[in-house]
Amino acid sequence: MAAGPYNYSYIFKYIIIGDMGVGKSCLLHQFTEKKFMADCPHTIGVEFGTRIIEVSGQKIKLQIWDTAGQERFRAVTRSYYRGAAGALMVYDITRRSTYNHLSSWLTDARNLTNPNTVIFLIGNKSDLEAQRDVTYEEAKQFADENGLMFLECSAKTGDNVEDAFLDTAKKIYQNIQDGSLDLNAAESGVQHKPATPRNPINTDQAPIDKGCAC
Amino acid sequence: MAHFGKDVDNFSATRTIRIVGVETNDKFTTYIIEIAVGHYVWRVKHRYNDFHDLHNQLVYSCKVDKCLLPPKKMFGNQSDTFIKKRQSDLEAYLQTMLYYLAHKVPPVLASFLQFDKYEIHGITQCMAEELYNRGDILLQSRDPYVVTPLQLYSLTERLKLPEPTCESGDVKKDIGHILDFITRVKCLKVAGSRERVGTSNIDMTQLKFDLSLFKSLQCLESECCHVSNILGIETVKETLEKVSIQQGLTNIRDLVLNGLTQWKSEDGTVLVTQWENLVEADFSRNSIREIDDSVQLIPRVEVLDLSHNRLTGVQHLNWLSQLTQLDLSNNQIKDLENLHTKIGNLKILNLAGNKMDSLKGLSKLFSLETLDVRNNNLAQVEEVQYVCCLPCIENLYLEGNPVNQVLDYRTKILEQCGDRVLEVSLDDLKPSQKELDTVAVLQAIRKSKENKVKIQSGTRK
Ligand SMILES: Nc1nc2c(ncn2[C@@H]2O[C@H](COP(=O)(O)OP(=O)(O)OP(=O)(O)O)[C@@H](O)[C@H]2O)c(=O)[nH]1
Ligand SMILES: [Mg+2]
Repeated sequence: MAAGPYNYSYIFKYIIIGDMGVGKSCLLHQFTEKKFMADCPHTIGVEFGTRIIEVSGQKIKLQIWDTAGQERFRAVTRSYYRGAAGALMVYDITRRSTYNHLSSWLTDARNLTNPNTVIFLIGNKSDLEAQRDVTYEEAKQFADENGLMFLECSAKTGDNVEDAFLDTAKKIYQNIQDGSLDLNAAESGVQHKPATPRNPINTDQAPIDKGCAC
Repeated sequence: MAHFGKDVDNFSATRTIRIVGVETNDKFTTYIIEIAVGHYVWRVKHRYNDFHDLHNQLVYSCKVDKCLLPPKKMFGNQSDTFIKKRQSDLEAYLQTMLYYLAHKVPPVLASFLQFDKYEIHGITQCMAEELYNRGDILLQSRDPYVVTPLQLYSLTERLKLPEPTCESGDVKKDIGHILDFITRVKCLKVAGSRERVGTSNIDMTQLKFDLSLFKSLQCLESECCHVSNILGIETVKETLEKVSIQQGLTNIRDLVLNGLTQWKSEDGTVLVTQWENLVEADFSRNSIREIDDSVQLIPRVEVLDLSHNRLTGVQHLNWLSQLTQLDLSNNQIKDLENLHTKIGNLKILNLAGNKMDSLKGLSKLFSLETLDVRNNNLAQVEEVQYVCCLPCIENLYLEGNPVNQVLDYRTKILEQCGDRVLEVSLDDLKPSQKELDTVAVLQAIRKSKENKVKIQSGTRK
């Protein structure tokens, strides 16, 4: 197990939140697979994706929880907030209602995450300029007032998608560096991981009855 | 199923803990503790000393009152009355602990009660930690990731609970590590069992679980677990290359259509997507009586194993135009008429352990290389000869048939192979030089006989 795709020194937990249909799953898919999923079904409960990125020479694994926007899953969705290092809050620039709901999403995010959680606002579907319903300036002002990072993206063309995920990670990493994020706090959403796995020799599986120190 | 903590929807699991008995020998007493959550029950056994250790840790980590545990007693602690009293004291102790700590059962108490084996939080935490430590190694290994239906069920149910991903507070036990792993793992083996789990009444054959988060699954094996309990097949079917379902199918469509009934329109157009990548299907050891028309949806299958089922014939295999290996051994097949009209390009065919009395139906399987018809009812050399002259045949297995008893069985069969006698191996044995000589003589005799017949019939004209 020398250096390989599985070596990374941090795990960051992300959540993606926002109304149904704003393109959360498409953003995740674009980020992890570099492809647009045109006929994406509504998320039932939760989706999940990972990708390893590099920030300042450090390999970081992002564990990304893509939540369901539908109201009926709200209770479960809320349970994923805790321990998130980054929260991507998404609205659809062609549907004002999704923008109007941001304050309630933000309240949830603020209440359920820790003060250091980096919240990144994404105005998705920027490729649909003709149907725009929310101006860049208006959203930018909302973001500034609430201390959020902000970009308009398109999960379809991939425009700015990479940046939204990476800028969030950079900000989290910066928080670690300047000490404002305590790695040892259980809910920081960041885990430091030793680069070499603990037990490289034994590759057989643990059957259920083996038990563990749970 | 077993879970302590908040209720999901209207699901409210009543939980009880009791000490239902004791086991004594001349040295010590063991208490049998029964934990029930909803209708799931399991038992663990502990001595007083285990309680003592547990208590010390709870006092230390959870600020539990030191006086709650009934005290140690050095002498006279084996008398019946004493044990009865202690049993009820310890029971009260456990009930108190569970009552006060139910919102967040501390790890020591959880492991004392073996939550890691029987309770969904315990089970998923254990999986998470295992995968946090060894997930990347397991991903690199070629072996499948082996899980039980209980583990998958626990994960499925855990994800429905409105609880934080890391309810224990230990980041290694965050269920994110499970998802991280399962979205990437390529080979999964679900090892079911008909036995109850450990000391519990949990019946794994009854547990449903969802595979839709297994996004990269190429190979799925399952044993002792009915496919109707496997949810999310629609998702995994897009990536699956190999599937093996043993002791879990009554009909192939149970898997292929996964409960769908309306899959063809009136004019026969298929309304559902095919299993685009599936090349190997193992449906052995089930109770399949008929190959149903849903195989139309698995058109790329090259290797199909239907051994140990209840087939009496084969149907619908014409849909599998890529099929090269077919295992039909240990079924109830009597005859296969014109098999070549159903399967074109078969190379390996296993029909061992059936009731075949003739191989006539195989006479035009011109691509066949290996044929195994051991343990059938083949009695006549004449009924076997059909496959001897197939142009590609290399391996013929005929043991365990009445025809083996025929005098000079080997040479009689080999004689039928004509020019290919040098390439063929019969019952795993190449013909010996002696056999080849005999065969050559027999063939020569036959030729001259045939010539005579020709000449005779010629003169008659
Ligand atoms: N034109 C355009 N369409 C997009 C974009 N992102 C997503 N869509 C479309 O928007 C629809 C909804 O996208 P999803 O990613 O499923 O939305 P979601 O937020 O995950 O929805 P829920 O899972 O129900 O919460 C899909 O039909 C996508 O094809 C985008 O950037 N541009
Ligand atoms: Mg979605």
